[in-house]
Amino acid sequence: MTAPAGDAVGPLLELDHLRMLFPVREAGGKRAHVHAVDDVSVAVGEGETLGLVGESGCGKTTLARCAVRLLKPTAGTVRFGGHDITSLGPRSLRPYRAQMQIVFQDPQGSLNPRKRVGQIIGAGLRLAGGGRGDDGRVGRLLNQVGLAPEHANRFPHEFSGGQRQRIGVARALAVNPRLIVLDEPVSALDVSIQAQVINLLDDLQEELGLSYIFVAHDLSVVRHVSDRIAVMYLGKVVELSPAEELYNRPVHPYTLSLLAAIPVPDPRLSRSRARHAVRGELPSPIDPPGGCRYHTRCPAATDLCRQVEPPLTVYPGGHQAACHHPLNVSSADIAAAVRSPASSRSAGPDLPAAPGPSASDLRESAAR
Amino acid sequence: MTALLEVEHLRVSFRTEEGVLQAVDDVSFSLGRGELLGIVGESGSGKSVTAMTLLGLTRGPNANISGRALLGDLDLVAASEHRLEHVRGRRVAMVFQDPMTALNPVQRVGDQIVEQVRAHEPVGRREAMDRAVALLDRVGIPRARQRARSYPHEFSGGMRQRVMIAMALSCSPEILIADEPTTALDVTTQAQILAEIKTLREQTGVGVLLITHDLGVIAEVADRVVVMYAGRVVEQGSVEEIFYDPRHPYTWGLLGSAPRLDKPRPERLPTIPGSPPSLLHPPLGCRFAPRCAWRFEACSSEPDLKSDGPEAGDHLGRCWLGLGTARERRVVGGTIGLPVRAPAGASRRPGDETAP
Amino acid sequence: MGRFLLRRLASAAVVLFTVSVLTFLIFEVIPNGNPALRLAGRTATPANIAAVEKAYGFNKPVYVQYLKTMEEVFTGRIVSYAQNLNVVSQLRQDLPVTASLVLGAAVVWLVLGIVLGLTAGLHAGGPIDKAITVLNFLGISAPSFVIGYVLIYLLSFKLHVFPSSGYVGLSDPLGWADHLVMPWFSLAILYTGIYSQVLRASVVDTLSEDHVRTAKAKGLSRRRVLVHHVLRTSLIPIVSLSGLDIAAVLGGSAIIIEVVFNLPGIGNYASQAIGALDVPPVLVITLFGAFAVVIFSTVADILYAALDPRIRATGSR
Repeated sequence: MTAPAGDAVGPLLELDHLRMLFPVREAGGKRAHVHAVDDVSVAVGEGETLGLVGESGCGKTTLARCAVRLLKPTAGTVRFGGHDITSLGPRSLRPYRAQMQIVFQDPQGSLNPRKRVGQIIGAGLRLAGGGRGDDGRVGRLLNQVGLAPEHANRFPHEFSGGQRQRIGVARALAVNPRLIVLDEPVSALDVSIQAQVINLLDDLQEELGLSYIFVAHDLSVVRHVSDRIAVMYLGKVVELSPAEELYNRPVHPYTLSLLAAIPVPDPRLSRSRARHAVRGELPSPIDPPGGCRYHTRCPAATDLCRQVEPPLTVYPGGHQAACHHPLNVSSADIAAAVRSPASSRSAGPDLPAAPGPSASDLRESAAR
Repeated sequence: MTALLEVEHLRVSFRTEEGVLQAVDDVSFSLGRGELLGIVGESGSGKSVTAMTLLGLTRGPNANISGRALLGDLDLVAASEHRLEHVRGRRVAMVFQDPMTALNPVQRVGDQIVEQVRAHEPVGRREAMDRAVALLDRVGIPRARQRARSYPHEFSGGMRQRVMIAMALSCSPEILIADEPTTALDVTTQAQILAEIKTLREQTGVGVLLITHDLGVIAEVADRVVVMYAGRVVEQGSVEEIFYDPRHPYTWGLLGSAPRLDKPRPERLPTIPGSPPSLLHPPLGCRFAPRCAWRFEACSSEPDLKSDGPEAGDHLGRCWLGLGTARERRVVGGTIGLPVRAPAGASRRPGDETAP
Repeated sequence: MGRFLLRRLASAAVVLFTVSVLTFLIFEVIPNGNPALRLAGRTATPANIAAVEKAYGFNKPVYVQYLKTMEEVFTGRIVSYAQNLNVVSQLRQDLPVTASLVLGAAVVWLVLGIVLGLTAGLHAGGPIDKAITVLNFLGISAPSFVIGYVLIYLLSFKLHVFPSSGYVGLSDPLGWADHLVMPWFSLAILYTGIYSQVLRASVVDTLSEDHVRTAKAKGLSRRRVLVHHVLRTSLIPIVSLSGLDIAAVLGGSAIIIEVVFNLPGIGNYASQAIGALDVPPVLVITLFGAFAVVIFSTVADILYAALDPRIRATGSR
C-alpha cells in the first residue's frame, strides 16, 4: 500500500526520546507531574502510516500533539524533514505548520459552527498565501473527500458526523501537507461510517503520498490503514511492529490482552474463547509503577519485572517489544535480538534471556 | 416463560422547530425473565429513545408517545408520573452511557445509592449505607466502605460505571436497562464491565435490555437481538439467527462492516454507502432502500415485520426479499455483508459512498 | 487550605496598600485641596496658614504625610479635618446602619431572586418565563434612586404606610424594620433582577444535565430532584456572586440609598466627607470598602470550594 519505513530516504518525522510532563497539584498541595509521554522515540517515513494505539492515559494524543508542535515537549527532540523543530517559536514554526496538519476526534466540536464549510476549508488556503480566487480549489477539495462543491455554502450542523469528518480532512488537505495526524478520527462515528472515512483516508494517501499518524484506542480500527503500529501504555511504547504481524504474533502481554479484550462479532466464537479480562486498574500516570509499568496487571510478572524496566528490544523482522518475558518469540529470535536505539534511557541493560510463556499459558494463568 | 416486559407498537415523536421528528415508529418486542435482549442500531435508529421512553424520561410538552409497554399488568406508557416514580429505580433501573456526567458530581457516591434505596424502602440511613457498601463491594470496588465517601470525579471511568451498576441494582429491580454502558470506556474496561453484567444476570435473574451499536458486545452477551434502523425494527431474533442467518440487508451491512480481527484484512473495508435518513422526513417505502444494493420495485412500499414461516418462529424481518433469495445474496466474498458498489479508487465520487 | 489562605492574605495586603496610596494621592492632587486653608478658617492670614501647616505637618513631603496618616488610621486616632471628630469612632456608630441596610436588602434579593429565577427556569420558554424576564430587566435598568423616590412618594407621602426617612436602632425592632422596608427594596431590586436571570440560566443548564436525568430514573420524587439535585447545583454560582455583591454594596454602593432615605450610615458619611473634600474619612471608608471586598471574596471562594468538591480537587471543574 505504501512506501516502507523510511530508512532509504530519511524519515519525514522523527521523535527522539520525547518527554512531556504536565505539572499538577495534588490534594496535599505537593507539586507533581503527569508523565504523559515518558521517553518515546518513533519515526514516520514518507508515505507511511504509523498507527498509535493505547487506552486512556497512555499518552498517544499527547505524543501526536507534540509531533505537530501543538505542544512543546518537556525534553527530547522533534525533527521534521530533517530540521529540528523542538524549540522553535511560533513565528519560526510557521513554514512547517502547512506541512503537518491534524484532524481531530470530535467532528462536531472541531468545526466552527458559525462559519460556512467553504470558509472553514478556505481559511487554511488564505493563511498559506492562497489568495482569493481559490473557490475552485475549495470545490476540488470537497470533491476529493467525496462531497460536492455546493456543500461549501452550508454550515457544519447541516451535515452528518461522517460528512463533518470529511470536511475536517478537506481542511487539512487544503494546505498541501506532507504529514497528517489523525487523532481518533473515527471514534465518534458509527461503525459503517467509520469504514467510509477510513477508505477515504486510504485513497488519499495513495493519491497524494501523504504520511499519517493514526491515533486510536482500538486495535481493530488501525489495522486497515497502518504500515506499522506502536502500542503505548502509561507514557511508554511497549510494542512497535509491522501492522499485520501485531495481530498474528503479539509479543507484549499488554498487546495480547488488548487483542483479547476486543469483542468478536461472532457469538459461538466469542463464547468459546477463554476470556480473560485484564485485571486491575490503570495505575496513576502521576506516580507510575517502577520497573515495567505493566507489572501490576500482568499475569506473568516476575521480580525482575517489578524492579527493572525492560528495554525496547528489536527482534528479527523489525518487530520491537519492551518485555522481559516476550511472547511468540523463538529462541533463535532471542539470540538475534538487539537493543533498540529507541529504548528508554531508564531501561535496564539486559535483553530477555529466554522466551516468555506461550500465549495460551498466559491466558490460563490470567483466568485463574 | 412469561415475559417481564411486553412492548407493543411503541411510537415516539417530538415536535421541533423544523417539524415533527418521528424517533420511534412502531416498535414491539418482549423481554423474558433472566434474558438479555440486545437492541442494536446506529445513530438515529431510535434505540436510546425507546429505552428512555420505557421509564417515562422522554415525556414532555413536545413529545407524543403512543403504544403500550406492559410491565406485568402496568402500562408504563400510560402510567401517571406518580406511579412511574415507584417503578423507576425499583422495578426497572437504568444505567447510562457516560458515568462521569450521569452521576451527581457534588454528591458522595455512597450517598447517591443511599438516596435511591431510601426513596423506595423504609430503611434507616445506616442500614441503607451498609447496603450501599455491600453493593459497591459486590461490583468490584476495592475498600468499598472508604470509597463510598468519595466523589465521582475521584474514580476512573470503569469504576464510575461500576458505581452506576451498583446503584441501579440497589433495590433489586426486575429489569436493568443499560444504554450504551461501555461505549465511553476503554476496551479492557469494557470487557470487565460486560463480564460483570453477565455475572450479575446469572446471580440475580434480572432481565437486561442492553442498547449498543457494537455488534461484538451483542455477540458476547445477548440472548436475543432487535435491530433498529431509522426508528423501526428491521429484524429481530435469537443471537444465533441474527449472526448466522440474518434476513435484512441492513443487518448484512452491519455484520459486514464490523471489523474482524480473526479474519484476514480485506482489500477494502466494507461499508454501508450513504447515511441514515432524516427522521423529520423519512423516505416513503422501505427506509433502508436508498442505501440497499438489492432494492427493487416492491421496496417503494414499506414491508411488514414478519417471520418467514412456522419454522422461523420468532425470527422476524422487515424486507421484501424472499428467504431463499436473501440467503443467496447476503454472502459477499465469502462472508455476510453488503457489496461495495464501486470499484476501488472510484469510490470517492459523490453518489457512491455518500449516497443522497 | 492553609496555603490558599496565606496567599489570599498576602494579596489582600497588597490590595489594601495600593488602595490606600491611591486614595491618598488623589486628594493630594485635587485643586483647592489644601486643607490648611480650611482649617485655618476664612480670615486666616498667610502666617496663620503656615502655622497650621506646620502643626499638621502639611509642609512635609508626601510619603511622610502618608506614613503619618496610616499610623493614625491603624491606631484609631485619625481625626477628620472638617469636624475634628475621630473618624474611626464615627464609623463605628454608622456601621450598624449600613449593615442593617445591606444585609436586610441581601436577604430580600436572595429570596426573591431565587424564587423568581427558579420559577422562570422551570418554565423556560413559556409565558411565565418571559414575564419574569421582563420584570428582571426592568429591575436592572431602573436606577435605585428613582425607585427610592418613587417609593417614598407612593408609600410615604401618598399612602402613609412607611416613614420617609431616618433610622431607628434595633432596640425598637418594629421601628427599625419600618424605616428600612423601603430602603431594602430600593437597594434590592437591581440585584433581584440580576440574580433571577443568573439562576434562571443556571437552572436551565442544570435541568438538561445527565445527572438530573439519572436522579429521575432512580425514582426520586419530583421535589427531591428539584431541591436536592437541580437547585443545589444551580445555586453554587449564586453563592459566590453574592459574596462579592454584598461586599461591594457594603463598601460603597449603599451611598445612594442612604442619601435618598437619609440613613446615617457609612455611605452618607462618605458622601458628606467627599463634598467637604475631607480626606481622612474618605480614606478610611475607602480602605474599609476594600477590606470588605477582600474578605468577602475570600469567603465566597471558600464557600464555592466547600459546595463543589471538584474545585477542591483540581481548582477547576
